[in-house]
Amino acid sequence: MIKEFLKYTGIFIFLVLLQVLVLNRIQFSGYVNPYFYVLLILILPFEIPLWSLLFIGFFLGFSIDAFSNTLGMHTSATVFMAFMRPVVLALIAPRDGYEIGTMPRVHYFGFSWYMRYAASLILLHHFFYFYVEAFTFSGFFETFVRVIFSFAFTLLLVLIGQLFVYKK
Amino acid sequence: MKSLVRFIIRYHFVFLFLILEIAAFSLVVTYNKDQRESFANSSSYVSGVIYDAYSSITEYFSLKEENRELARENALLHNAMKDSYYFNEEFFKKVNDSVYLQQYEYMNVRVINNSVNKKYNYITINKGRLHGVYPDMALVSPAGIAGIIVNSSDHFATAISVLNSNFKVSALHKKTNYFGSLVWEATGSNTATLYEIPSHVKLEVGDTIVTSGFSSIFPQGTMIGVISSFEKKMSESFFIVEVKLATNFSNLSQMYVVKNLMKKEQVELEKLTEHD
Repeated sequence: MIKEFLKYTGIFIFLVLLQVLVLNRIQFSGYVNPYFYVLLILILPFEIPLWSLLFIGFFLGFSIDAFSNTLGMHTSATVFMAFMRPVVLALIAPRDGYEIGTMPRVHYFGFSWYMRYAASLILLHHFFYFYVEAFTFSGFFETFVRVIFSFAFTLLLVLIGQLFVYKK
Repeated sequence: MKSLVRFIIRYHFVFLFLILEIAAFSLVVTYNKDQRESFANSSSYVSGVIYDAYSSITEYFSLKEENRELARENALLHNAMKDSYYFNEEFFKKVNDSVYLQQYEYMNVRVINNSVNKKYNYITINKGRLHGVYPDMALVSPAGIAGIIVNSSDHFATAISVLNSNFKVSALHKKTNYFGSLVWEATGSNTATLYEIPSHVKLEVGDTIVTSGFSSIFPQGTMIGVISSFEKKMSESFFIVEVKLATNFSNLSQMYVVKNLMKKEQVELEKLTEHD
């Protein structure tokens, strides 16, 4: 339990630093900004208590916000994503449910399942985030384009990340 | 009451979500309007420290662009400086005095281009025809002679430098008033050679050489330099004198153009004499 906690804390810190120091500086033509840090929400185990899922989402988003002067925006989007995770998991659950000991990884449930899982959650997060942001900034269509481009980029990164996860 | 508690526990996930979401939105609304620094001081401190460390590393990667940018900005600032503008006010001033007739007029000019390392060196100055600078006027530095104007445009003029193999000036050994002609033989940026000083003249290292004023270009007695060495070849009756020039040609800035008001008269008179 402690080991798991430390492991996810380490991933938390790594993802926040990666996001604010590297990925936030990537901007192709002002549209694309991947938000790879949401990976943390994706990789948390199935058994995690729902309340802690929300809190993790809150603190994850808050950390990103603190670094990018967008206080509250990432927080709300990540909390929303954490809230939607059980819903999405229920919707795309295999016929006999999630077995004990499995993790939301591509090699447990296959590429197609993982794709649906990651894509829908990332899309929800990005929609939420960019429209909260647009609430204070720019127009609808431009925001939509930003959502789509950034979504594609984040998803690509998440899928690439799966290549580095090995079956135990 | 019991049922309410049970209701909340049952739907704690949704309630918690709503509470956190409300908290997040209150952050958005209060924090993202215009003041971005009052809240979360500790976290902005942490992020500040991390960003600072990060940028102190990454700024090395952009040093080249930074330099280019700074150079560009420097050029911009130079363009805005007073030096870049053409000062179009100074002209020769006329003085009428019936006792002392003014023969030479000095005008302050600034060197804008200069070379010392060629065989034919020229000096460009920032005054031209509009200010009355014409060919065959003298160019002197505060320390001594520097050149002779050879071309002038409306706003600029070029002078043949003393450090030019075509330069020649009549020079005077100040102590004895013997004169010779001074030329530069591409022997470095601070020495010229003086010929035709008769071998019986007593020379000493350190003696002052000034202009003779024979040429109607330089006023008489303008500093040229001091003797640094002299020698006499066998069978020759003249010294070869090395003169250390007073003007530091590698560092020219403020100079004077000297106009000889009686030059025309002198030249015409000498021409008349030649015809005879």
